[in-house]
Amino acid sequence: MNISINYFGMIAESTGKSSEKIETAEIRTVNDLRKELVNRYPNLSTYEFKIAIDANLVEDENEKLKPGALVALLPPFAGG
Amino acid sequence: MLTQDEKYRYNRHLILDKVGEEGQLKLKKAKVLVIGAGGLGCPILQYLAAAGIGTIGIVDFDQVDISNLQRQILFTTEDVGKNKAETAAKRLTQLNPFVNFEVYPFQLTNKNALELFEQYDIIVDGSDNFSTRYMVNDASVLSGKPLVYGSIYKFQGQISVFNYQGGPSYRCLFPTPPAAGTIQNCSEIGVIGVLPGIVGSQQANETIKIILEQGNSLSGKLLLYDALEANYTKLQIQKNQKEIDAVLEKADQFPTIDYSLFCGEIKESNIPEINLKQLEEHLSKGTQLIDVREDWEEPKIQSSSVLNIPLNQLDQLVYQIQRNQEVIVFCQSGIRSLAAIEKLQNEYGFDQLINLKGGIKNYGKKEA
Repeated sequence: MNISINYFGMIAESTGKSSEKIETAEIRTVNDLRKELVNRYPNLSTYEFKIAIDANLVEDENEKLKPGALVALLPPFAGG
Repeated sequence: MLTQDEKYRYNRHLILDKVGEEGQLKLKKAKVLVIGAGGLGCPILQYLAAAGIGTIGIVDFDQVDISNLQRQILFTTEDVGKNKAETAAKRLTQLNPFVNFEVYPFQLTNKNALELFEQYDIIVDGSDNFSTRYMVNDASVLSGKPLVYGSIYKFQGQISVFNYQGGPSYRCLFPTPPAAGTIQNCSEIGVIGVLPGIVGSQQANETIKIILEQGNSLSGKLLLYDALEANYTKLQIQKNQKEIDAVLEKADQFPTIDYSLFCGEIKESNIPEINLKQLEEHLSKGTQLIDVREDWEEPKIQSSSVLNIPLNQLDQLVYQIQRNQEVIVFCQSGIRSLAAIEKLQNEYGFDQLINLKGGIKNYGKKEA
């Protein structure tokens, strides 16, 4: 499956990039994707973040991923 | 009714089809509470005051610091040391004498928030920390007031409207605050000065739209702004009624909730700690010191016993930390170091780690 990912805020610092495309056969759900990304970038496990698929923030991470999904990883900010 | 002076002042609103005299009167009747007169608060306050909001409340316990002036454009060099809420109100009165300013030069807490919120129609959050943001969200839910949210990080901003017309709350977006130790503020990480200007202006615009009942608000949407890429992204937020109900059900407990603890800003722990004075003794003994800050962070301790292992590299570099003897872990303010110690204790079995309470930020400075 082909997925495009955008990283925001400190998540982008943690992965060292603001976006990337990944290709993997094992990802079926949003939760699989979360696990795969934490596996690739272990620092992500220390951050709180929400995942958006095609501009919708996901509530239930058991949601199925579709090929070509546009994913965003979004951490909370508190600065003001 | 608008006076002749007001009609002249607000002329560009009055001739605008979606505002007009009717809209201007709505603005005049509105009462808006702005939390924080800092980076976000300054542009929010300036535009709301200029637009002719009838009553504007300003809460800020903090004083103007010279390092604020890079982005907090209501203040001048002469204002350094003065309370922000009072100084802002004074300056804004010069901008628009028709606005009634209510000044609250003290800290907003869960003891006084509800009483304050009840006196206003809309709450605008320009605070700078998670515990205030969660508390402000809960107080908005409990008092049934719309909350215009904005927050910033380095070159990026987030804007939304919560608790408005049955829409989601902040907790629907982020139910859990970030882990202790991953949180840093502007004074630790920096922020580009224009960014709060852009984000705060959008908050002012959302506030004015709600009052005028015009356009589409950002309720149910999160607007992300990236200043480096000049990019806007809009994400849909789903309402999570369970999160809202949980706040409503605990209404009685609201004034007693420890939001700092909830957000990991203060941790109850049994981890041994030392202060800066005791650090000197350890330095002369040659105790190993682990600096878990990023390598560019100041001040530095010049000693061969200091080892820099940024928090996010702990797993890779843990083998460099000495076992079976006392080791001091420190960071800027003592929060990240606590997180590092907990991780090292829980995942790697270290049992003689000591935290530098309050961090290294005042190292080399004379005690007040």
